[in-house]
Amino acid sequence: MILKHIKLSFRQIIRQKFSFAIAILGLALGLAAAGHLISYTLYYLDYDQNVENQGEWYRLRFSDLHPEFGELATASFFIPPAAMLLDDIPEVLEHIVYWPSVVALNLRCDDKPFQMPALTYVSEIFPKHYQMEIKYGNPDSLLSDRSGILISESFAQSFFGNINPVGKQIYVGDIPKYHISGVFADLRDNLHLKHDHYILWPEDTEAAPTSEEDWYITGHVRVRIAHPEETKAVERRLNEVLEQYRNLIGQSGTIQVHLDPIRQIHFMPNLKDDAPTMPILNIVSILVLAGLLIISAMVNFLIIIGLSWKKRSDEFYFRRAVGAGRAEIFGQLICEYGIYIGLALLIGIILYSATMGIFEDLVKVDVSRYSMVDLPYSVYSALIFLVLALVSGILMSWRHSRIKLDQNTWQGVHRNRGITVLLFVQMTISFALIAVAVSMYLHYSFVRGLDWGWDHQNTVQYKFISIMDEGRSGYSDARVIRQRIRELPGVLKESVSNFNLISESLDNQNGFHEVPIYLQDAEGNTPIRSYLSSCTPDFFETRGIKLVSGQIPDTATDTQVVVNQSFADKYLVNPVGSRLREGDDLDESNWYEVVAVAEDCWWFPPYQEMIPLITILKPYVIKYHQITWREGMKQEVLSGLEHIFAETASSGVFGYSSQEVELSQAGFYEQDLIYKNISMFMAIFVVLIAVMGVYAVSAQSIHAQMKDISIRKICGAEMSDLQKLYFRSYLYLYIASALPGLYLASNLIRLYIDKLALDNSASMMGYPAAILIMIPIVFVPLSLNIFMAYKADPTRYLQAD
Amino acid sequence: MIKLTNLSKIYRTDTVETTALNDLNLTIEKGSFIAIKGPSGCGKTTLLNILGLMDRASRGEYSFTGKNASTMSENERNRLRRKTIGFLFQKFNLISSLTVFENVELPLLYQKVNTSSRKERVMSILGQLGVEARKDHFPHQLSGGQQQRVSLARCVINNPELILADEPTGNLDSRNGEEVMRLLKDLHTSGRTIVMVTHDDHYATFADQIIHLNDGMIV
Repeated sequence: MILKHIKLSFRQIIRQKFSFAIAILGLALGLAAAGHLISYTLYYLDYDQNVENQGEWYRLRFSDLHPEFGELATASFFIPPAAMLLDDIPEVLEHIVYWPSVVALNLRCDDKPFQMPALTYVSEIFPKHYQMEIKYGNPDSLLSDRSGILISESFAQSFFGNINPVGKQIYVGDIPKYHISGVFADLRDNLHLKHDHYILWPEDTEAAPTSEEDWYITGHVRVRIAHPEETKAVERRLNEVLEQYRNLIGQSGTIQVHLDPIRQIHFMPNLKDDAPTMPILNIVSILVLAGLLIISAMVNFLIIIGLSWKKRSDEFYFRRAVGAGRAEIFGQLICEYGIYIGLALLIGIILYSATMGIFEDLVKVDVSRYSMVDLPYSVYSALIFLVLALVSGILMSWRHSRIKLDQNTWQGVHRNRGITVLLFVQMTISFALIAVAVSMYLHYSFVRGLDWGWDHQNTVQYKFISIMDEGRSGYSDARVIRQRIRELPGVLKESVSNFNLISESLDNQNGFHEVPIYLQDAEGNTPIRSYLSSCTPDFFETRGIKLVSGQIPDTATDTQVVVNQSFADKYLVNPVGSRLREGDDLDESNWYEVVAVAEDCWWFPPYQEMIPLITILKPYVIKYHQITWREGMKQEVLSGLEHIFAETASSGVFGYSSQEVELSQAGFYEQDLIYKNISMFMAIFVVLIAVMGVYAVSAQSIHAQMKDISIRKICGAEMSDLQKLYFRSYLYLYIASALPGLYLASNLIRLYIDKLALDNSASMMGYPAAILIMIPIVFVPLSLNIFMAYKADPTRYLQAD
Repeated sequence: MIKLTNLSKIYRTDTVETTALNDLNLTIEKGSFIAIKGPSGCGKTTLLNILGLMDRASRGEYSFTGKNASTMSENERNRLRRKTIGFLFQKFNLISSLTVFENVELPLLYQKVNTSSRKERVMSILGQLGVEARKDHFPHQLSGGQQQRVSLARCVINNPELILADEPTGNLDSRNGEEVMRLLKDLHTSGRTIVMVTHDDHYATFADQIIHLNDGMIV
């Protein structure tokens, strides 16, 4: 009997190829796409999970709670005193420090530049903590002394080729300072502290941190605590210790230590001095979207299968008439349903595997490790899906097997209600996803099209430490470098600054120093908090930054500053000529004079509010050079610059690195691009499903009413009369699904848009756009069916049966 | 009123060609009552459908009230049908989800007649046909005779010049059949042209003229 059912199932597929192709392929595609989305979320949910004894590790960080400034939340802790402080706490079993140096060095190996970003210092047990697979080197002495550098396999391959590089000497200038101590297999991407190289942070567990300098360096510190309930005791103990050193630490508010479980740190955004993070709600929303996708595909599947069974009610009637019981009909239907679901699952798995590479390109994340097939989550996901599918199948089979020999039309009408509910669900999801997709598209266009307030086209930025001076050992003269750059053929303009013009986060590493500032004209003696940095006087004109008021002298003194408009609007009534100072020292030399107010510029993504910024016009140290090339001269300028910086670096101790500005800016919005692409892809998929759903359901309901339509036609009804008749019911459905759909969309959109500090009302256009886009989706297929019904020969339906 | 010249209707499938009407020539004067008789499959209903502008001939010419119906567009045929032709079917063809009143008012609805006038005309015709009391009932709540009277009411509500009846008594007992034929006769007396397809010799006698069809030809 089962074989007969299976044969009949395939015969049905062959008889209704188009409908079944839509149902089965639609579900398969939905499953594959949802699988990819779940893999993508797992990639992030698994961030930093691959550490030894992962559940026992916590990140140590502090926040400074100030009555005036609020909470200054950082992701860091005090690096030099960490060892001494933590060794005194018995609950802390182990600890790790991590400090990425700000300064790149001029390193050479095998007589060629050994170009790598600033050194990353870690504790000796770090390779064990990240469970590194060591390719070369002695695992017991990888980071045993200050001169050993541990490098990644791909980094070693690119520099040394296929040889074992362990023992190779690395020179700083002409002095042999480091050696390669080991090579580790490339780390997975979803690690918070991932780098291509590590060097030992020498810890001093004996000496007490007795000077301010000991507390100056902050970085990532992790501690291992066996029992979660002990974390509070550790926090309390550290708070007490820090209170003892309050005067040295230099924080003006109340310092509070926090222990963050490692599994959570990637989802704690907006902390200073942190690696890139993301809100957990983004992950939740992607999971919601994946769920909606499956529901939509499943609803489409159920509609088409339901309609096909409805078409076959005569067959079921005849089967009953010749002796089949309800159980037999039910068995046949559930068997057919199982075959269809099984086919969809099989094709879905094939599609999922085949499109893994395409999806990775789309999201720019290596999700291959998070293949649904390999993960424990896949069991839950498959179970949820199978339960959903099974319940739906049983319900549908049960209802369709209920056909009675004295069946009347009312049962048919009643059954349509189920399909209408499914169509309602599908349209609701369509409304939601279209609104989300359009909003994400507009949001992305908004952030990418934002006026940054400064000229950044065709520009490259070099990071290289030099000074506005000559004759200091190890340092280059910035003025000489600038002159050489300006003389380079193809250079349109060049500027220098002490702050990074493409900063992902506003911190000391990027040259943005948040400091207390005292205003001369202010009442009382309460400082304000502002960012402070420096650049040369010509910076503003070169970068096309408009002045709101005041003038910038050609040659400035080290007490003249420019403030941005945000600073002026917030703190100064008459900005030009007003005076301000940094810190408590009232000495006259510490006072700055505001000479001009410049328009606000985005040196950072607009996920942070515009900052108040003071720029000193006479920098001593120069960290960043920005060079703009003439159109068509990019290659010439870039190779000339490379030559200048390589040559300059070779005679000093500092290394250099470069970034193309527009390319780096685009990196700020990679996540937004991914969300945009995902939501657009899903919206297109759901729209196609919705069109097919509306078409199939309206075709079925109109077909079932062809006799009524024919009667109306012979009574004189025209096309418009029929349209009015059917449009009305679909209009109700349209309105009923629009309301929950747009409500759902508003919640999803808010998860993404809320992180933007600027008012972006353009994203709200997603709602009216969804309302407009859904009109043709609902009414075009319906019109097509009405048109076909109107054109059909009415005599077929009016003659005696 | 109606003139058919060399009218043919051929149904084609991939392998079979069936001639339903074969070079038919027929003239029907205004105010006449014609009965069409013939065995099953002789083309009676096909002829009625073509006369009612619901179907098109494969060949030949059909002139209705002096206009060439063969060349009319679908909309023109629809408009002409709405104004001048009423249909009566064996199976009544009432819309099951509409009440008696709503079924009868349909033609007026599509002619954009206003509500009060519609109500007045529907109640009047229901009164004339003796089903006024059933105006709020659904078709399945009526007897066959009542359903056919409602169908007749819908057929004549817009005062058509031509009434096409396809075996109107086929589903009725003799008492109700007689009643329907009497009503059709009354309509004929009031000046309407009636073309009726029937198998029944007795009901055919109500007509002025009987046409016999066989194999798509008048015999």
